[in-house]
Amino acid sequence: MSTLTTHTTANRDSHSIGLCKFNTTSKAIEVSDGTNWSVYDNDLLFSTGPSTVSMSLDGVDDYLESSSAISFASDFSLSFWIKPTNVNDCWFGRWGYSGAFISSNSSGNIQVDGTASTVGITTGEWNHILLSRSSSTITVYKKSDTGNASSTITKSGTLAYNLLGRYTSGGFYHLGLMDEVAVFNTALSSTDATNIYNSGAPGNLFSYTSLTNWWRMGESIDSTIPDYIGTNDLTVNGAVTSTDVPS
Amino acid sequence: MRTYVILDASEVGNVNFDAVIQRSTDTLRYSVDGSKFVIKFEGDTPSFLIGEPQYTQEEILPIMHSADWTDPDAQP
Repeated sequence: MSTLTTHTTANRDSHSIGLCKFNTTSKAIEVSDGTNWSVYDNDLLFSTGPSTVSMSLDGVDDYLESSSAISFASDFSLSFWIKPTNVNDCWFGRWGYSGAFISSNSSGNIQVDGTASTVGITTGEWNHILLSRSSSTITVYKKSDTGNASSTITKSGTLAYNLLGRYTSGGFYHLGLMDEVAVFNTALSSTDATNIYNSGAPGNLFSYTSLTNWWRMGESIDSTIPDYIGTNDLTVNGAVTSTDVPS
Repeated sequence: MRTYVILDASEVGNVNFDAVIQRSTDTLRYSVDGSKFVIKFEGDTPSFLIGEPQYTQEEILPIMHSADWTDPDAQP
């Protein structure tokens, strides 16, 4: 029986065709084709631990793009962690659709496609956001060290996004951190919101059978963030990893 | 550390995408009127950017938040 030698993302070896290593940072097996690293981390065994890295976006032009739209036609839940520097920046958008966005408005309130909730974001700290839609009612849950809040808004029809960290045009790039983005195909409850928040330390989501997409974010290699559940990987445009994570 | 440069849109054909962080013209941020775009790099200044005014992130963020770069009429 052979054993893979190890390395870390920070100290990754130079590329060599066929080089195979175990990455002790991301807990993934990595193979080089001489130019890029291919990552084998999709058996769900290496990725259930706490978040170790997040994605940092510079507020200038960094963003992430999904390979296909993250689309919600009926009941759904969207969970993500955000540490914004400012209000009035956009976390989810869609190319060519000015009405498609999840963001904080100029008052700091979380809004979905132009409909603002009464839940405010807290800048400078990690916020866990859970949007849970049942029929046409979206419950917005926000939890952070300095307080929790929730409210409902009405939003029917299909919602769809393929940009993370930016709006379609005209600015509003996210300045801050983003981590642990997950999609569920059911409306999660307030108890689920509490459990996912987990006192501020994101944990394993695999126990949720309705989980359809999970981007652990900073656990990315090269220019792609893998979708651990589905196949909707994210392309990284300028964003970099950060060791500042919810904990 | 990242360094940012603002160029006229007419110069987009001169960008060496192997020397900057952005990967293609599709990923560039343009000003609201489309007349300028931002490019960024790490390390040594790419040859095609020598002589252009440079900004740190701290310096360029207020510019990006101005009406020239962030549309005050946009919804978010």
